[in-house]
Amino acid sequence: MNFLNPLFLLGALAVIGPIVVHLYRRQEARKIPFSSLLFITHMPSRSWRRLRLRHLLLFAMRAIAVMLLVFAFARPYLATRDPLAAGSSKHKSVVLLVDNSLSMQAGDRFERARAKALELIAKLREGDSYFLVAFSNSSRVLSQPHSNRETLAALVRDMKPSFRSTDFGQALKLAGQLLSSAPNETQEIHLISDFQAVGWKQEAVGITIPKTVTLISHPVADTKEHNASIARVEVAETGDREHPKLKVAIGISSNEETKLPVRLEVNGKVVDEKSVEVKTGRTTHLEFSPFPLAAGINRGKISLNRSDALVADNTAFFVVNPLDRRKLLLLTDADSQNKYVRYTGDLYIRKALSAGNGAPFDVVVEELEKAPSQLTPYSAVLIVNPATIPERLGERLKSFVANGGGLILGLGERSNVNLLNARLEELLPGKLVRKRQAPAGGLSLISSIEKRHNIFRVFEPIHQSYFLTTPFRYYVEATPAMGTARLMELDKGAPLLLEKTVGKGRVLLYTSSFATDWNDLPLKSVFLPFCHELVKYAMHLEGGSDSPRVGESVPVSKLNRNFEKALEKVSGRGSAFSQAWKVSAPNGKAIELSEEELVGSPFLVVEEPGFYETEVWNLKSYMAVNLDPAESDLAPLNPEQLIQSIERTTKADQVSETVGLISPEQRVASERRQSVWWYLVVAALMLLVAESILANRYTTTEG
Amino acid sequence: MHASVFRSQTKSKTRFLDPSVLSRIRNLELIARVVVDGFISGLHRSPNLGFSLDFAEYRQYMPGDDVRRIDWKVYARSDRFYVKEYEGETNTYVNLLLDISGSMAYGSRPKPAGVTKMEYASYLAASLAYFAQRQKDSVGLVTFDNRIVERLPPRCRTAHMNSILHVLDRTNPSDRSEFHKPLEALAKTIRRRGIVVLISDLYAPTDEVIKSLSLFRFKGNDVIILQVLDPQELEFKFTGGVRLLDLETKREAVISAEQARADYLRQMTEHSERIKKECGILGIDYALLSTAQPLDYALYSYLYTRQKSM
Repeated sequence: MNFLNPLFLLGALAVIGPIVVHLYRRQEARKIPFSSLLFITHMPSRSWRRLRLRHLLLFAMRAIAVMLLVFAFARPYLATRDPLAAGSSKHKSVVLLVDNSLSMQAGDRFERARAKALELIAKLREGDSYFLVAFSNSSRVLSQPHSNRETLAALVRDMKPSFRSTDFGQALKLAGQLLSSAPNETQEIHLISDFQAVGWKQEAVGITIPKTVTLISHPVADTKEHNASIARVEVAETGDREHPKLKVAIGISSNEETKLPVRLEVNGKVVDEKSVEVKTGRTTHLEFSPFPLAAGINRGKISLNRSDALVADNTAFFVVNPLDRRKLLLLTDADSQNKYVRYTGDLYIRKALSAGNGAPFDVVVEELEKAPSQLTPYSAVLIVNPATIPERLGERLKSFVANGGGLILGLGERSNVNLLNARLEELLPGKLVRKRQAPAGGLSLISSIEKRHNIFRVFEPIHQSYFLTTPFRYYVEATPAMGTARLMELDKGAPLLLEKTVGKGRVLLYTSSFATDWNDLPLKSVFLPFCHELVKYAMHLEGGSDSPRVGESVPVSKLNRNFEKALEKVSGRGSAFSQAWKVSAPNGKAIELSEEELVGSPFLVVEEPGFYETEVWNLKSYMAVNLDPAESDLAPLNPEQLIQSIERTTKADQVSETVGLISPEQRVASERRQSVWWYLVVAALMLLVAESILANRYTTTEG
Repeated sequence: MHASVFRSQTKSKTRFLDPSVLSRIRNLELIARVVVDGFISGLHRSPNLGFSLDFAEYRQYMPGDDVRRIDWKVYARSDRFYVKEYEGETNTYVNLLLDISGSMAYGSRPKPAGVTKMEYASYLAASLAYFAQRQKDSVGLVTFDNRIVERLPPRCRTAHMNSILHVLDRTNPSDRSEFHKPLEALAKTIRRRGIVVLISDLYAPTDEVIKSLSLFRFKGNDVIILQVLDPQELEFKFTGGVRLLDLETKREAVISAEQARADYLRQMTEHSERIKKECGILGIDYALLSTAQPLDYALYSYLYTRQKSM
């Protein structure tokens, strides 16, 4: 018997009530001084015992009534052999969890897993039901409760390992849910896996499986298998704009010390080949010589020329398109009469943005007055220390931001708050009030930073302390508009960095200067990454521009920049453009993407490493997809450790979660099993009535 | 005149005689005064029935008469001894016998709601003594349990009242009661007839009580028995299982109050009825007093008996 509300069993303590009453009565029977016992006839001890027995009977009745009520409130339910509700105890419901993650491709792991699954299916008896589930970091139920051995065996034989990473937690959770509505009382989960340690994630520690379910592990991994993998790929453009070059660096990890030949191919041609000695337990860094970048799309492939346990992770892919690089338009103040200001006004920001090879954008510097008439080639515009914004530029910026462009405005000595308010009224995240100086003899410091914001997420706490210790001498007071996010604040809550979303674009207002005249931030080490992150955020490049990993949902706009426009057309004009796109997986097979699906959810789940090729309105594009490097770590986990770390619950706890999964018949049967409490309440009430009658009778006879 | 006649006349005055009210007064003399004065004021007529200071006659001196009562002037004139006699002069001797055995310490209700039997008996004895003294009677007091504890022979002096009150004040019930032995010893020492008032709960075998009191009766005394009981002893209202501790013997008895009640009340009633009946046969006045009852009833009984003895 189990209980739906086992906590109510604590109410059994209420039985103390009758005990106290009886003890109290017994205490009452202790000493009462009386003048004389001359007329007291001694009660025969037999009679007294009978009286006590009567009291004991009353006590027992009260105590039992309390216990019955407590049990009733605890909502007991019987694990009966009701064939409708619980199936037969002779038969069992089994979930076969077969690991088909990338690591199962190592050696003969998957073959062994398949053999184990077939062996278990062979033991299937008449009346047993099997759920077959293939899992990696997502689980797929291959069969609903099935009793046919042949069908199940065929499904197992058709199973193939995927390229996804492992996640035991979600697989076990699914298994628990499946069994909660399973018909048979005997329930088992068979986990066939290589028990890769990285697959048992911290978040899964709190997972619960009913106590009644038997969890059986079937490890299929060898104790030691050698594996090396490409853990990281960094691609950076070098050289000038006319002769761009590409520098590729990789990180290689291995579980054995060995010498590895590494090959770099671009567009199918071998560009470089190197040999590297890798060491156990650390990532070995390897840089290829920069090579000239061809115009157009460059598809790169790096491979370890080695046959180890897991082959798939020996290759990594990247795509570089010099024409596809984002551009930042940096508009500077050229009108300044002060040569020093003119020189230093944009010096720090210009140097910061152009420094390093890893920036995913190019910087185009122009004078404010000479701003290009077309802003569409740019992904973001950064205006430094403007006195005002030319009227035409102001208009262009409005439509630019509304269509998804980014605008960053850094104020300074020349900034005329009234003119800027007038020209950028609709774009500014706040109304500019006036230039403010830090309190006399003192400095203003940053008092708060929105650390969870994408701009600041890359900074470690120590870096954030650099921000907080930076002195600010001047800033422009601003009154944030509605819907504006305060990303940085100075003392007394004065906004330093404000963000506003306008249309599809983002506007960032930095109320101080990007130069050293108003603050010391340009002198801090955090200035460079801060500027980069500002620009990347304005360009919607936050979260990195790395290639997606297998299993991720990729926005189709990332596959091909024409995709979004095509979808806009589709949603407006029906299915006229249904043939306008073509998507191919790395294995060359076409991926069917219907308009309805894409309009509803414009994402593609990538399942293979390699290049996904798309063609939208004759614009061909490639996207590199790589494996999750964590999956290359084949270190196993002790299966018993995994099983022990799963929290086991009573089945009753699961009932509420799975109500939706059970059939009406099962629900009726389940409710019938839980209706025991009614009988208990009735029994308790009857007992209490009997107790009252008996107690009255005793009182009458004793009187 | 029977006591019931007076009761109806004094009903409104009984508030002065309520034991629970009296228990708040510490001074026993004051209690006695309050009781007696309240009682008398309720009578509307003098209680000194038959008492008068009017000269009646001279009587020739008889051996045994108090020499102090000889009229020396008459002797001087006639050379004979004559004794002056007054109309209504009685010289009644009142002996108050107070039971101070352990059972008298019982009181079911704590102060000030109730009094113990001992306290009630003390009020009663003090009141009777004060009342008797007002009547110019000689009052004596004997306290006893299984022996005579204290004895004050009857005196009529005002100072004697203080002695009585002092003895009453220091009574401390403790021992077992036994009637025959102390009362027999006492009966032997009482030479003059008078009124003997026994105040007790009479927790003794009926025969022993009757036998003891008959000793006084046979000597020509008028005997009044005032049986003092607590309401709980009269009604036995305990409930459930109780373990009773005998205040005299220190014995314990575990009983079911409901089961024991009927038997107890029956035995108690039989005991009282038997005493009453035997008292009737012997010409002894008997009154059963509850400690919740006003004290005037006892005074009526006394007054009635005194009238009878005149």
